[in-house]
Amino acid sequence: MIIKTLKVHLVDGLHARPAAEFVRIASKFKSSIVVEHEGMSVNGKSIMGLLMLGLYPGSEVKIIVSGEDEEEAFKSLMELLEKNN
Amino acid sequence: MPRVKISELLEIKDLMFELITGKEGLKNEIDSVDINRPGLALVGFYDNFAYKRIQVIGKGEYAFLQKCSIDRQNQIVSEFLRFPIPAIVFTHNNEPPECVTREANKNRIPVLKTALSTHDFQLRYYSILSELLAEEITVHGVLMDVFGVGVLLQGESGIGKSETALELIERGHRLISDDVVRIKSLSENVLMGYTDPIIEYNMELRGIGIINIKNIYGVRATKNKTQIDLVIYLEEWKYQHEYDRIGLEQQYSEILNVRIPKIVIPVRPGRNVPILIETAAMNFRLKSTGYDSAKIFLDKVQKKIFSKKADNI
Repeated sequence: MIIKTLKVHLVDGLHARPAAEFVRIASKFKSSIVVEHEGMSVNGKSIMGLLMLGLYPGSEVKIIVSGEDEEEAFKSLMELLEKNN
Repeated sequence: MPRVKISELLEIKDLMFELITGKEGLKNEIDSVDINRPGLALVGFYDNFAYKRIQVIGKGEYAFLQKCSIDRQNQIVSEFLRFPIPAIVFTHNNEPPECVTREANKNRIPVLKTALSTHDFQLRYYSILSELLAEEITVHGVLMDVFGVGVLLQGESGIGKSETALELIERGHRLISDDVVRIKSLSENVLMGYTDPIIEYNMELRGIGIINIKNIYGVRATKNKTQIDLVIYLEEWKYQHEYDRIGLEQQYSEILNVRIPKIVIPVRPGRNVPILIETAAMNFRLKSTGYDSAKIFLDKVQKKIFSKKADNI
């Protein structure tokens, strides 16, 4: 299991397109992916959940990835979240 | 532990609050579902005084204050309001005495009045507060009301929960929330499920995108909350796996320390999942009226075996 707390850098926060991209990447992997923010935890493979969190630039999120391909999944998600635009 | 601000209570129509004074104290918070009737405090006994709760001045306390001379009132009230009380409530639409509004204003304690009787106020306050102060979590799944049974559909992403929900809605059942369900435990055996105010009745369908169920199907298709009675877990049909064929042993799912009956339904092409869910919901209702189909059927079989055995001896 990989757990990491990080800040969202995306300039416009995690709105429709980046959220869809996040879900698209997350869904490729077998591992379970959970995103936590302000006491709420949602499934990283579900777009409604991610959008509900309303992640703004600078908000802190905790990503929990667990399963057989967790390392690869975690790396791919980090690449997306650490983008600056 | 969650807390509630007095300003939030003011917005609850059922409590019929009217703010008399003490606006500056509206940020005061409450963390208990109980109220306090400050009879003892008003006569000067302050041991174990529950000052953190809202203080309700009912008919009795009000009559007592009215009977006191103005000087005595001033003395009682200034002593009483020295405590950091979150708010004072006058029931029966009683007008707070002048000394109460003055002292409360000075100490930033909101003074409220309500048209309700004390009894009615207490009942409503208790049920509203126990919901507001309940522990809450969010889970992944779809919550529906199927024949009056609160069904939480769970399963991996992409198993078809939303599509199943859509078919159930088409058949006249109601959606509470898709994808993210907020759950509160109202007591040791009651779980209440809600939607998130942002998600409301929106649903995501692969290939179509986000749709709004309330706008498409109207009010008959949605409900704002429901008690959760049954968890139905959808999973891909596993070839070697043994699925329940009889239904004598009940499985449970534990959410917020509440045990909820759980059924696992394997999904594979050609299985009509919505109708299986409807049947599971009806069977749940039947069981809660005391009729357990599986048990009654097996009892019959048992009897036959015994009688045959007796004949052969």
